[in-house]
Amino acid sequence: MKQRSKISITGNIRRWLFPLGLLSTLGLMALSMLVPSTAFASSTTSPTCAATDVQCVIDIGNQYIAQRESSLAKLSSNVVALANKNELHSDQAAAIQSDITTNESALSSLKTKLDAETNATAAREDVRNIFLEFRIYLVVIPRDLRQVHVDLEENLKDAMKDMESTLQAAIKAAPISKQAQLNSLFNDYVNQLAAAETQIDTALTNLPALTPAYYDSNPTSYASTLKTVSSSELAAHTDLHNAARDLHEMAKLLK
Amino acid sequence: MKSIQSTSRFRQWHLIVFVIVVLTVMLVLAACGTATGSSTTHVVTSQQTQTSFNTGTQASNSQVSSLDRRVQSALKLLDNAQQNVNNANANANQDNPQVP
Repeated sequence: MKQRSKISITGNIRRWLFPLGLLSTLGLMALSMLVPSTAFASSTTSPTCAATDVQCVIDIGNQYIAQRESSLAKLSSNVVALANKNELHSDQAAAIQSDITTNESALSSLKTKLDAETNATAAREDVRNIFLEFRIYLVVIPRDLRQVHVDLEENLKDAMKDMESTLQAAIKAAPISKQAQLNSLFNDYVNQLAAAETQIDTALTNLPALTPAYYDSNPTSYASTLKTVSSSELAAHTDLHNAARDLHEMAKLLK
Repeated sequence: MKSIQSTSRFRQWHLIVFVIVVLTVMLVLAACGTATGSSTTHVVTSQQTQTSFNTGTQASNSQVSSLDRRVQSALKLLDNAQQNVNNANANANQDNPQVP
């Protein structure tokens, strides 16, 4: 009896062994398929083409160009939208659009050259230039977006400075009990705007220097100029927020 | 003859006094009228000044509120622009050369 039950247990194990083995094999296969693809996604830096496959190099280069053209078009529509809402002046918008157009035209010329290549080495050189000559993501788009930001800062600062006489008139007409607090807020408002103006001027003076050529010729100096622009831009941003807070407090007191 | 003369003088004096009294009354009335008129004018002017003063205050207060709203909305745009710069900086590594 005991021997029979031992046999049935062994039989059961044998019956389950095959499906279990099959499942674990399939699982391992699935894992082996997943792991390399994940690793590929995170570690791949450049797609590969055969040494003499010119068309492969051209196709990949065209993808890079299209990606940059799409990013520039997005920036352009952002600038147009701000200009349409009168948040950017027409001359400010025109200057940024001009830079975008220059880069789009140059990319288009490079695409024409790349498409006509018959030699893989020359095609690879063109692809390399998409990155090294244009620096769309490293220099152009960040600089143009900074320009938009600083232009918006300047326009807001000007609008807030224009309000000073209106604020002074409102403070004069306010109850005497509130005037000390209002005057203190107004003085801080004026000082914050003056500080913002200095920072904006510094940013606007240094921004045009941030070019791909400058990055290539003197990366250290480029980094230093970028730091100056960035810190001025951020300081002006904070100053304008502080002035706006003063204005908000004054508006509450004058209600 | 003397009595006729004295009666005539009395009438002349009477007339002169009457004219003086009438003139005095007229002057007093005129003075009162001027004073009343100027006082009315003064009140009206004062009311007008007060009214325009209030309107001016309300106008500049509402202007300040409107400016405050405009600035608050401009600040949101400014914050978005700053965020766009930050996002662009995060994409800078896309310019690392990837030559096939």
